[in-house]
Amino acid sequence: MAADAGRTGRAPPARIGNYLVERPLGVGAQADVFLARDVVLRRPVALKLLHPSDDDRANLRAVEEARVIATLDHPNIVRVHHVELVDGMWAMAMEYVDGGSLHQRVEGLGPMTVEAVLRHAMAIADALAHAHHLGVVHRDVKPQNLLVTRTGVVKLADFGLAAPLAAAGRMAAVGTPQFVAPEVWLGQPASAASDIYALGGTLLYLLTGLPPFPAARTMDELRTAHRKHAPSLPPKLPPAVAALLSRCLAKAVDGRFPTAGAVGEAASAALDALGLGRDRRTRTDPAVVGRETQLDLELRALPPLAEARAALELALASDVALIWIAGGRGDARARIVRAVLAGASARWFVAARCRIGVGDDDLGLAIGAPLAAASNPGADWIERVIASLRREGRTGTTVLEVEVERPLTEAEASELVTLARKVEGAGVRVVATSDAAVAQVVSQALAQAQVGYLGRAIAVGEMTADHLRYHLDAWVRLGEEPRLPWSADAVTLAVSTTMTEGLDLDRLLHNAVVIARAARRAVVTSWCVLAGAAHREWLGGPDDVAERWRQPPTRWPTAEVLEVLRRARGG
Amino acid sequence: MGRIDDIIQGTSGLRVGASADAAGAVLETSGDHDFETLCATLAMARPQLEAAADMLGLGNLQVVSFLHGEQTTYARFDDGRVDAFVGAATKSPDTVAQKLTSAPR
Repeated sequence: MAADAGRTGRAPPARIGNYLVERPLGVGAQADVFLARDVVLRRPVALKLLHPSDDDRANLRAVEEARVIATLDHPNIVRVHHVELVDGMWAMAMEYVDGGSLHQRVEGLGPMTVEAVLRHAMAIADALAHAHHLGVVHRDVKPQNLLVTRTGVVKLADFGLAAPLAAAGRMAAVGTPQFVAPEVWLGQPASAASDIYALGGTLLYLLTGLPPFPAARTMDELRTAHRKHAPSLPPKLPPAVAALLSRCLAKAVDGRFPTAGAVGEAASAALDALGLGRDRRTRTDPAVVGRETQLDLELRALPPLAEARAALELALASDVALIWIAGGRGDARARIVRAVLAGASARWFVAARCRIGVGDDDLGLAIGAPLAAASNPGADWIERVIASLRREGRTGTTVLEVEVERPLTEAEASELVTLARKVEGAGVRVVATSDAAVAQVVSQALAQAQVGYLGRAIAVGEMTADHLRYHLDAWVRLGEEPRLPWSADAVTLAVSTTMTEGLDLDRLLHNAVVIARAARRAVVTSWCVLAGAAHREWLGGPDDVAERWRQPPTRWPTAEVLEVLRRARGG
Repeated sequence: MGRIDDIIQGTSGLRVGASADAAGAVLETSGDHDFETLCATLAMARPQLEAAADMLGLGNLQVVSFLHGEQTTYARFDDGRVDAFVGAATKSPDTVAQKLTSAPR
């Protein structure tokens, strides 16, 4: 059976070379992208099919560009696996990134926090610096081309495939004039500097949900705005962030950062200035990815998740103001919330996702900052949060997500009770997640205030070993390419460690793979799992691996580990 | 002394070894080596090796040897188990392989 048609209205063949076409992922002016499966290597790919062209030079250019793109090797750039001319149509098989785009993320969950945007800025700038170093200009940096993996790693897609922006008159065909640099509007060729301008516009979009000149509708208005007007930045933006955006979006090329690397350094410095330095990198935490992933869908039917999801849907359908998902592991709780609030059929508007982590001493700041309602601690934070929710929310469907990762004091629990009272009046729900002990403290605070009716706790059942094995198998099967095989002992230890230590399985699996790669292992072993469990933060790459876990031991497994494995296997 | 120790002692040319179940889970080891990777790899490769043996008309797969630069790797397959050994580089791995076929199981 042929796959659905793309923009051309013409269905692609069901099979192109080694690829079985499954379903459309996106359409473009010059190409359509389909999810396909490599039948030889048995892996999913994003198959980009360029619309057929009679222009030999255009075809030749496509091949030349593909060759250049294939030389790019960067963790934040979508990899090109293969390019082939099939029946007069160029097909490009690329790495499949299954977490959607940052554009979809902002569309679904609203603007991102300053911290998240700066961390993405560092990653994208690094990717651009790599490409520019190799003489490759992206030409179409925009939120739609920034994809995220299900583990939260941002990847720049569509390198060099957009046509050169040689003339303003052709921009309608390119389709994203909102991010095009002033000099390109004047007919100059795209350059590293125009990529930096587009990056600035993209970061502004992530922060506000709007492109640099949202009021400009026609091409003439956009041309004028980009050439002559300064984009309006959010008024409460930290100065370092405002300076970064202004410099990226400078009209004159020499007013911009000289290199993409300099943008990354400025983003890093801005994080430091905000007290959010490198020690708090969270770029790979799936909890920061709002969209439901393929893995989420695969795990939906597991009983503990399905039951809690049904309970959450029921609670949201009632008038309860404060819904608390309690117990289970962090990844399970996040998955339940994503399924209901960010699933394909979700009807909720998530105004903000707040995280109260171990280092977040000020509750008001942790909850207020993502809503841009509190950049400084203050007694009136609840009022400011409510005002922000009223301003930005959508009547009856607005949700504030709060992820609690540390114990709460009684005073803090009382503050949350006050928040629950206020959000009830504003027609907003709070969906919070935490371990069972924290939920108990909040439950007691609600009871003491005699407003138990405001809250509902949903207990997440524990996963059995079989559930965890299923989870692990799906995680590996749907994982990023190239996949590493897991030894039977690694699987056994990952499941038993997750159960006995209550670890986040997604994080453990991710960290184990990062460590295996850092140690140049061809197989993920129980040593990688032990090392992964020893890292309680999400590892972004080999540089994040602690020194003692970079070199595997000469003998493995040791007698002690062998005994642990034997017990875990039940032998 | 375990079974693997005994086999190594009784078979010249073998340095280290391990025993694993059919899935490659390590059960017993002797010597210093990354046995988990070795056993997991052999367990994963077993279906392909058996298919190749079948296509070549060799009958049941018993022992396979891999000769490479400085060492030789041997795999002995049994119904529910994989025994893996690493020894010195040799020009006649069939001698060791022959001994392994008759070594204690």
